[in-house]
Amino acid sequence: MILADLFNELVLRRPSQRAIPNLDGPWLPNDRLETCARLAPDIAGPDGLAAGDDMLYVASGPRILGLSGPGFDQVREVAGFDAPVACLAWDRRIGLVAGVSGTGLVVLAPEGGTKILRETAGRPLHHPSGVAVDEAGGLLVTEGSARRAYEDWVWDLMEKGTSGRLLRFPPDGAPAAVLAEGLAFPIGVAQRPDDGMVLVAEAWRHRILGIPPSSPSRPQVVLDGLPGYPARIAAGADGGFALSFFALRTQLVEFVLREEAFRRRMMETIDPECWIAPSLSAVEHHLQPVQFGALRSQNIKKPWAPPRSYGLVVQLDAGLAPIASFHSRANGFNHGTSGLAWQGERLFVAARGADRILLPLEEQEGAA
Amino acid sequence: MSDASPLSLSRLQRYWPSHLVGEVLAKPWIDSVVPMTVMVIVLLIAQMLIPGYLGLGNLVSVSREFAEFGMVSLGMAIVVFCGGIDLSVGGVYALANLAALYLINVLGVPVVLAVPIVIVLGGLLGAINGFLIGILKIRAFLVTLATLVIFRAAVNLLLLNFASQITAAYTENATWDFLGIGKIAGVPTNVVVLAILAVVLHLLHTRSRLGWHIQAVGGARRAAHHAGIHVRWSIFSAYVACSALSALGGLFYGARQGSIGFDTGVGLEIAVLAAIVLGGVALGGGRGSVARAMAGAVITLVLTNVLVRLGVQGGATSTVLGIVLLIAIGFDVKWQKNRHKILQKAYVSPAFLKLHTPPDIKPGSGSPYELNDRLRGAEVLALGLVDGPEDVILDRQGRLYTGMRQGWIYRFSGENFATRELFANIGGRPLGLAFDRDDNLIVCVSGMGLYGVKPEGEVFKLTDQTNRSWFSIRDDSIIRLADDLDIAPDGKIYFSDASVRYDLHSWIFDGLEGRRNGRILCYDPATATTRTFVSGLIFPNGICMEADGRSFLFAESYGCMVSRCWIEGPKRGRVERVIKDLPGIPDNINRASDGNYWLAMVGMRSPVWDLALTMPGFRVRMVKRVPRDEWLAPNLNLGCVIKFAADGRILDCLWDGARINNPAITSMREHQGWLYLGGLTSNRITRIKLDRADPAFVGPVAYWGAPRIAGSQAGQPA
Repeated sequence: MILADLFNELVLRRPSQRAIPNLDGPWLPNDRLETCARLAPDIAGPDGLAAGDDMLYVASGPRILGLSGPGFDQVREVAGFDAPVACLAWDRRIGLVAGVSGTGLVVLAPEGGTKILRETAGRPLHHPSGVAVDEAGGLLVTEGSARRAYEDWVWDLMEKGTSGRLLRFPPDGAPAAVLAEGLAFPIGVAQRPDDGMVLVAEAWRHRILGIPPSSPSRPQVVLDGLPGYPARIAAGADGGFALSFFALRTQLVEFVLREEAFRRRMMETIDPECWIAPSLSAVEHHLQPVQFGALRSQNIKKPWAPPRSYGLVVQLDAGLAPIASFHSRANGFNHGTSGLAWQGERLFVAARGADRILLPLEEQEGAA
Repeated sequence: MSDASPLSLSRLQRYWPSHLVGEVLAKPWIDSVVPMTVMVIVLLIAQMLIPGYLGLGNLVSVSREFAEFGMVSLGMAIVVFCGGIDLSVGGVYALANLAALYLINVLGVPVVLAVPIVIVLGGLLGAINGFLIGILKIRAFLVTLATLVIFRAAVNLLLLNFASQITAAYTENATWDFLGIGKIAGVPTNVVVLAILAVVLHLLHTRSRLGWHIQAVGGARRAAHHAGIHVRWSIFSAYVACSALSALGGLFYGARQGSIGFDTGVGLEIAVLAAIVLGGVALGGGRGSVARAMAGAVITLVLTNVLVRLGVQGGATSTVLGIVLLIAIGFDVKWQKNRHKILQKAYVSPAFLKLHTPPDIKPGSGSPYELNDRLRGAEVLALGLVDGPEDVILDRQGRLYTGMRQGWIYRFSGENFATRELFANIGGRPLGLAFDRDDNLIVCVSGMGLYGVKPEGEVFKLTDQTNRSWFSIRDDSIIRLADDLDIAPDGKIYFSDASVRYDLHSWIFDGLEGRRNGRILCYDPATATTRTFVSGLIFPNGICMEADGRSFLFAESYGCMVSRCWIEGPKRGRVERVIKDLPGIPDNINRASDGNYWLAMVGMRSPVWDLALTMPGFRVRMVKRVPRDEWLAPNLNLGCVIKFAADGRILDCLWDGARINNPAITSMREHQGWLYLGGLTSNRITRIKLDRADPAFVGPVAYWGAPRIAGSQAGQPA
């Protein structure tokens, strides 16, 4: 592996597989996540989003909030649990589906009544991280890690976890089938409408896997070498997708991931908030590590500083080629972009680190 | 690779002098190491292949041949230093040989006269080259190729006419033989001449105006022109010198051989070029030395000589020479390109550093350093008018002075300090400021040393070097990063030289290194000398004289400590810790009106930073594999000002919680009830009203009392 890398780099002058790609072309940085419209209410740590008929469901800690009204400014609690809600999905046939840490999938049927899904062919589902409803009415659900709960993602990153799974609960209520195993913290899951391929975003491998419906045992890499840690992927009405990243990869974090002794001692002795690791929020902790490029000069933090936290949403076309990107850069605030929901032409993005719901496709004046 | 036993291996690493690798690589003579090593290896191999090769008898005979070759190499080296090339050396060599023999054998000119004639003749031939290349600016390669053909043709024509005469008229001539086969103290005459020439040329090259000019022209012709160097004249003289030296070589060849053939000097230019390139004289010009040219000549000659002695065919010898030339050029190109990269990667050399456990600073922790946002209400001055006010100081009249990144010192005065004047332009990077007894502003200038500015704005130098220590590879007599100063009652100036290895633009790398690279120097105005007072400090920064004048306090930034150093009494020169566990990185220290001290904290330690300091291997690899902008750094985005007592108690702490006005707070001065703050990378100066401060406190008055000089204004009462 190392020899092949060296050969590639020194002889063929190809960038190494480890290299973080530049933000260029459709990825070119901008401030569109800073200047775009957002919903009026501030919601603490919003993550999973799901758009119902006339309501936007938001997972906020252990609660599910329903936002309704013309400006989505009426907030009411739809459900509450004793553990954080990681992800949401809504389907007219099924109702609202919530992935609750430690519990499994909780289905809130439209006619009322609650059902908990956790049985699988093997180990029960413990730490759901992403959920989507497929064409047949089955539930596609990802489990980020077998050992770590969804909210402990930073541990799984530093442990280089590869214990994630993709499961499918069939509509008839039978135990779930395991579609893929050994995934590196899958969070986002979606189904491509034209060929039924299931797309899974593997955060720690910075790629999107495609699992063809005909041969689920042979997943393909459909999008590779992403510049950040992909979070959710959501299919839009036009056949394209939105893909969110909760943080960008940085050289320093990639380096620390190769430094076994340092990482072990860091994890043993230091509070995770202060690790060399990506963060969701732009709010600076007084003991957090800082990189040279992020030191303020002329009292300003430069937008191109190596980002500890970042906001990025990318639009993909039906062939999964990136066509546009929306950034909140190092000097911005709307960081930790995760949950996505389409409502027709409208795209909602949950900025987890900013306690905000953003509308990246709309200008500031148009909304609220 | 493993840091599994941090308590033993990593700790030991602090004694491992890995920083010396970078320092050696940074030396200018490092370029000579490779050719010199190759020369020694080639000589040893020769000795192995041909027993007795390094014996006295063989050396004498080989060195006779070498001397003539060496003279031509010296000439070629001069031209190449100048960025040119001279292919006609072989032609000049042969012509001079012919001329010398003709003059002495046929015309009977005395040797004493013939030698200068031949040298002048060579010079004239060189003048043709020089005129065409230097004055008419024709390409050196083409010109000398043409002159080579012409000179050679001339030799052939002349030989047809004079060869028989020269051979026939051979006579015994003691002086001539002395030049050819004589010895001085057992050393062949021509070798002695070559040695003298080499020494003289080395001196000219490294120490004379013309030598520097030639080097400059070779390095960057246009820049040399802009610098006012007479480029044409420099080039012209280089070619003249080259041909004169070649002619001298030809003359000695004639004296030694006493005969002449059509093949004299054929292919000499290639061999000589190979020699100097092998020695590491850059073909592009501007880089190389006489010693290296000589080393290259030795390598080439020994190689050829050994091959001939081993019975290798003539053609094969040339092939080997060609291959060696190719390798040398390839190596030269790669070395040029990569040397600074190697240096950059090898220079930063992290060491083990275990800091004391920092106190908790969380709000509600009850620690004296508790986080707050008391600097939020600070009044902003000079917004956008300053660039990096590292230190601020106020004079007796309440005017504010600060140093800029551009090497300026600004003075602000008037209502709300609205009037900005350029007080002085020193250059460098002005850092610490202090007023002396005569109201001169004494300034630490990074990259320059210790300077002063008179009240009327005239700049004068105090010192820019200290004593060189015995065992340092890097020249530590230079004051690289003068950071802060204070003045003792007797007028001696104590100032910190924060690092002997880094300048201000890379001061953060010194922190990454965590070595004891800094020192405190003392300038004595009575003798105008500077001596190192304390060394082995971890980035000493702020200095503040204590009220009794018997000791000063100083901060070690990357050591996160404040210490006291005595300058008088039995403990003179001794250092004792005052605060050993600061939560951040201390910068300047100044006096408070209540007899305590202010300390600026430029940035924060973080747990990860502390951990990395104990794992040098981690930092070494980070420096090598991660780009600079992405390196782990101390958090200079959050800082504070603390007040501490002489015994180290923390009395007060003002944080910049909002992180807008005062990132990287480096200095603070109390003046008439206000505290003025400056920051290393800031674009503003701020001030905050102090609650319990003496409203009449003025720094220079506290230090030096009311002004002694008649006519100057007294400090204004509040």
